[in-house]
Amino acid sequence: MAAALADCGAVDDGQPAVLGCRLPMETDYRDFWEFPYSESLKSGLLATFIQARAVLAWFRHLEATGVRAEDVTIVPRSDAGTAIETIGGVCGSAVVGKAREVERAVYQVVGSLVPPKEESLAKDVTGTYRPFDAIEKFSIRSLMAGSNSGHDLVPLVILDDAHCLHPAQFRAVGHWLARRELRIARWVITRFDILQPAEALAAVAEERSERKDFPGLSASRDVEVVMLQSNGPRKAQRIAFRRMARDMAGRYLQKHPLLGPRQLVILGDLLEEEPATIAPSEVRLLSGRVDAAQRKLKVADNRRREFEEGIESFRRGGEVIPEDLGLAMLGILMHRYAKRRKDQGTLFENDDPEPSRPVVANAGVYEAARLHLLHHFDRPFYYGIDALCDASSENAELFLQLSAVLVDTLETQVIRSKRSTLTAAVQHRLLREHAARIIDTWSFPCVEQVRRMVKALAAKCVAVTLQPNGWLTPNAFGIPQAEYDQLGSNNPEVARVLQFAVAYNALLVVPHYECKQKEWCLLELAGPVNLAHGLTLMRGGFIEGRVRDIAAMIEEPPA
Amino acid sequence: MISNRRWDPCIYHRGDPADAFLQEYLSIPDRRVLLIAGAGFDPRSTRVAQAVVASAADRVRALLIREERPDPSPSLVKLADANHARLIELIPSSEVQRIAVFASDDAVVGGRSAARLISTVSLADVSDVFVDVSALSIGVAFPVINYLHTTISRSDTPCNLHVVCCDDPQLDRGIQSKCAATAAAIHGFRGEWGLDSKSRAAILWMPLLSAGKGEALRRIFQALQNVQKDTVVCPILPFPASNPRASDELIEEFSQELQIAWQVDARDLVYAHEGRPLDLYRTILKIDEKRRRIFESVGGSQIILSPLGSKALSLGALMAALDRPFTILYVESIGYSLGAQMAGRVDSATSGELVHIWLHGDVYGSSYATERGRT
Repeated sequence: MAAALADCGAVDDGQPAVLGCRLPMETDYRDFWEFPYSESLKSGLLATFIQARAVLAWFRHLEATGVRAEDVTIVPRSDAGTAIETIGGVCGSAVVGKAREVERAVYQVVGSLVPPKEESLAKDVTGTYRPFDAIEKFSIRSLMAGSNSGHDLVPLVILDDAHCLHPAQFRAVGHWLARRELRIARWVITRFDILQPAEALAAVAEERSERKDFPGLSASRDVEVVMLQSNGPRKAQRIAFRRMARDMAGRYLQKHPLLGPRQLVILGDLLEEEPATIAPSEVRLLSGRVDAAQRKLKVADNRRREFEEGIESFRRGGEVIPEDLGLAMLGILMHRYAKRRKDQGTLFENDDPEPSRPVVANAGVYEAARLHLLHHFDRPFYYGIDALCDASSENAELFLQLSAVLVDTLETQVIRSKRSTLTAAVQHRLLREHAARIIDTWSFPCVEQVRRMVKALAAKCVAVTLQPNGWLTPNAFGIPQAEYDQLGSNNPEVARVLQFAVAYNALLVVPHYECKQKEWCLLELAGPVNLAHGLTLMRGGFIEGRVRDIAAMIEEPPA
Repeated sequence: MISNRRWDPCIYHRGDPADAFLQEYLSIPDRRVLLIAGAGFDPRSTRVAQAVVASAADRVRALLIREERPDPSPSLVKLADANHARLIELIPSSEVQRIAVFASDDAVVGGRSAARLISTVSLADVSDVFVDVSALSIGVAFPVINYLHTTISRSDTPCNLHVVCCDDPQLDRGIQSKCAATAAAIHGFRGEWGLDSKSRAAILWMPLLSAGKGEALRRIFQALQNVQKDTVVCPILPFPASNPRASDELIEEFSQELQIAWQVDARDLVYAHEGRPLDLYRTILKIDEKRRRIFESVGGSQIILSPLGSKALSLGALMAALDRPFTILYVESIGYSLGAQMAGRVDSATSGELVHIWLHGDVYGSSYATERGRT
């Protein structure tokens, strides 16, 4: 951590070099937009409020570390001129006093039940107070005992949750903060909500090198956009997330009051990966079904033996395939064989014709067989640390939520002196139950439409997954990229629903996906949806569709 | 001894006495009434209007507010239309105003719009304003009452302000709401929340626990924790209540929050009579008086109220926040649905007891005409 802070310049020679403050925009800043004033006045009020609160927050943080306002001197910008007088001068205590005065004056405006008349507004609140324009840095006296020299700190302001602002306010704030002459560092953190649906969806799909410029503002030169959504090579991301999630879980468990002292700190070791097989009676039932399929599909005994040998020699993680899974794989192979054989026209009767393409036991058949057993016999599917990481859709918060459920149960077992690991069946049950709960408690704009959409998408994916030949295990819906690009203009309602689905992690957008010589945009279901509906966590499988299909899913069914 | 509480004593009626009071009071020929009510899906929408019209049919005008939220359920819209039509039938001269609770960017603007709307209403020929909160959400009703209370108490024109509602805790529990993403102060009830001068104040959060409001309360607590990690929580439980086990059930429902997230000491539970808003009002003020003395020298005390749940009980919190600068934090509902148990009750408009609180006017004497107002 210290090295990272030193690398980015936040720490210099073991001393802090940056004085930061975070202003959550979710409180009263949006209210200015509702005032019946001109747009420039509304923006001026907002800017004044932000600046006053930033100054107060900086001094609050200094005070928390034992630095009194009297020991702080403002180093003004060389071109600050009279602006320094409007913020109370260069003495820290006077600057704080002025900021308090301005904050209270603006607060009274924003808190009034009915907005006051424009002409009755005080001069302080309408734009003359501009500390961001005046301050270059803070100089702190006697930060180190015995030293008379000043210690300089560069101010940083972080506007968090900026999506709570009105879109026009957000743009105005962006414009204001992007001015090159400002010396303070400034970050704006926002969700997708703030963008128009078309902008939001384009932001997910666009190449980072092709960012749009706003009038008078060069996005590439003046603004550095950091996307917190998944971006870049997906396979590498998944591997990196698994590593990061394991590390995060380890740190959490080390601090756990019950598990930490017992050295139960490696989450992967606490989640059993021994697959739970189905009951013997169910194995017999499955075996009967496979025999019936062989008769119905007229698969020769020799061909069946060939498939069985292939399954016996197939290894997953170096392990032999269990009986129930082997039977499910056999059923899938026979259906694939029947499909490929049927397409082949023959002149002569042949009991065991060759398929058009080889039919072999591979990872795809294995995954499809596991999913079939999940849906037909409720055989545990989601267990082990990798499944937990993949179900989190590369979202650390979701990972913590899902792991918390497992850790809580583990804690109960340890308290009751039972085993200190969770079986596959318990993990599977807990994860699916929690995923269903997450979906039930979704609460954001357009939530009903998003729920209907993901439910319909998942139902389609399940139907394809359960095809007897297991040809595809999808968890995504693909629409032509060209249709996606036009969503904002051609179908704003769908665009808006997709925007919130992406913003609140119900869906992931995978743009520019090449398949069958076409360019697709995949709407990939997020981890909790896959868990709740019993879909694969592997990526890439998708159902082809159109935007109009999504529009139909979003529509409310007649009462 | 002179009380420093605004409503001690207070004129308050409930049940049959409330009906009898309205009948007797409104029968006086010089009473000219303005009724402000919600014309929503709530089956109680018409209950107060019926009582008012029964005694002052030709001396009442009404301002009916229809709260509009995005993507409402068609069945609820149908119910609201029926209540709307019934109210117009009862008071043909009614003015109907629609208020969008959410702006196009999903920001909560209902309270501000409601206050602006009320500020345009003339009270010149009105002797009594009745605000019926039965079918209004607190995000809209509270700013309306605050504006009227402030305006009337500062005005020289004599006018009485009454708050009425049809209290039916079972129905309140049956109306399920989907909460918006963020917690915020109700418009007009910021109570210096977020001001630098309050940054060192010891925060006490007093949420009114109510079935099915867990998500909203969790969001409010999160917002408070972002400001002060060690926020103290004193949950309010309805007791005595129409359902004698209501408190136990709420403790069970919120057991995780009470024990783990909020870390509530058993001695910090506050009990308030479910049917008596004044009980809650006085309890909150008593707590405030004690805390103010204790925290005066160390940054002060700040009480945050979150009256989600029973309508009548939420009026107690409203009165406390009108009296003292308390903050009311809540999470606006983006939509409602009626629980399965409510399916057969949506037409039973007469269920529940009438609650009447006389907030300002003749009965409190002239000294109240110049009492301090607040914004």
